[in-house]
Order: sequence, then C-alpha cells, then structure tokens
Amino acid sequence: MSERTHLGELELVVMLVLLRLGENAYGVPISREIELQSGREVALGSVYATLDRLQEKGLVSSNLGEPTAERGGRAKRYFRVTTKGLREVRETRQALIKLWRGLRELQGGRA
Amino acid sequence: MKSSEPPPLATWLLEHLVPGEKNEALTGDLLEDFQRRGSVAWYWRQVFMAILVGCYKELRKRSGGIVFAIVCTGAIPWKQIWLNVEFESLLHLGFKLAWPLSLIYQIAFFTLIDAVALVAALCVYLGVTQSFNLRRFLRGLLVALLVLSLGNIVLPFLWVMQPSRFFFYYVVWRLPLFFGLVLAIWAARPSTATAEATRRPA
Repeated sequence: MSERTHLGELELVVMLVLLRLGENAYGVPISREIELQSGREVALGSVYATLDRLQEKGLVSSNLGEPTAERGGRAKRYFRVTTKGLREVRETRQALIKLWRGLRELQGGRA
Repeated sequence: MKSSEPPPLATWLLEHLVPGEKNEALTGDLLEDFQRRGSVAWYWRQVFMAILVGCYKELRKRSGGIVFAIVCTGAIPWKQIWLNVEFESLLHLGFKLAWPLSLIYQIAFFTLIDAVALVAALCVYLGVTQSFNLRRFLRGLLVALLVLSLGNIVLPFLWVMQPSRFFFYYVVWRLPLFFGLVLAIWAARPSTATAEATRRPA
C-alpha cells in the first residue's frame, strides 16, 4: 500500500487553486483565487503556512522569481504541484466522491 | 482608512517578527496586494496574522526543546538547594555588603547557579540532537545570561510579595531558567528550514 499524506481542508483548497493557476501561482493570485472560488478571505500568512506544510510533505515545490519594483524589490515565490501532490489530490477526490455517493440528504434540493 | 503607502512600522514588524528565512516573498505579496486594496487596516490585520501564524508554526517546530526545558527545570531540586546550609551561608555573604552591592551580589549569585544548570542542560540537548556548533552555542548562552539576569532582578521583588512557598519553589524560582533555556535552545539550534527546496533564480 502506498504511503499517503492526508490533506486538510485548506491544504486541499490550496492544492486545487495551484492547479487552477498553473505557472502564475504565487501568494497574491493564490489568496485572490481562494477568495473568489470559496468566498472566504484567508490571510496571506495562513496561505504561506499551508504552502510550507505542503512543501514539507513533498506535495508542492517552489522557486523564487525576479524582484520587482511594485513589490519593494522583493521576489515572488512561485509554487507548483508535484507529481506526488497530484496523486494525493486525485486520491482525496476519490475518497470524497465515495463519501458523497448515496447520501440522499445531499441530492437534488437545498439544505 | 485608505492610503497609498503601507505603514512602515507594520512592514518592519513583518520583516523582523515573523520567524523563518523565507519572508521576502510574503512581504512582497502584501506590498503588491496593498497597492490594489489601499487599506491600512487590512495591511495591519495581515501583518498580525502573519506574525501569529509564524510564531505558532515556530513553536510547534520547536516543541521538543520546550518539553526538554520543562523537564530540566522541573527536575532540579531547588527546594533542597535553597535549604542547604552551605548555600545559605554563601548567599548571606552578600547580605553583609552595602547596597547596591548586596543586590548585585544576589543577582549574580542566582544567575551563576542558574547558568551552571543551563549550560549543562544546553550541552545535553545539543549533544543528543547532534547539533552542537560553538558559535551558535555562545550566542544561545549570551541570550540566556541576559534572560537569567533579568529574571533574577525581578525575583527579589516577587519575594517581597510573600508568595506561598510551594508556588515560589516549584513555579516562580524555575521561570528564569525555563525561559533562559528555551531561548538558548532557540538561538543555539536553528529550526530545520521548511522550504529549503525553494530554488533561487540563476
């Protein structure tokens, strides 16, 4: 059986946003996309803490870009999902679909 | 409150109070997003959250050192030392001196005792974790001596408040050593960097 790293809710959200953003995934667009898609504002500090945790688990990798003037000469840190991360997202999706399947309360109408 | 420039104090706090070495990108992101939002309140909120999250993360990473410091400070039999006749006679030597020398003697006396325990504990910790580095060790020791001295300056004033003996021996008396040891471990052994895999541009 393969070794699994279970994803927390915010970790899964961040992974999905990284996949959505592709090459342009750094702090600002990541937090904006989370706000846009989930309707909740997440502090950039929390986003970075989550990204660091994902990187420690080997699910995400990062590289520094060039410093820009609008950022006070500070570089952007770009993130991307690793192969292991992609596998983890797929497995989480499968597990969630299994859990959702057959739940009458969640079918059709409103809660 | 809208502004075109973020508060410099908040940026300074962000750069100096968020633990870790990868704050450049976070600071840059906040500055970039501030240009769009222009809200000083938003900026301050983000900075406080970043500091809180960063400190919590750092504490979790270093929880081993904190547990070690609790065990060490709890294991030292302060009550027995305090009630020892030789200890008492050495302490009373200082009482014969004129003020402020008597106070300085007392602070130095207790700081020295704490420092001996701290050096022993710090050496054990760095030895067990195989992370001994002379420069960092000395840095940790310097930080700890400052904390111990400050703690032992405050202790005589607490004694005047006549706390219960149990509370004094088992809690108050151990606080300078505890905080000194935690900070010494913190300074002497840097946490394992989280995002070491981050690549810099060539």
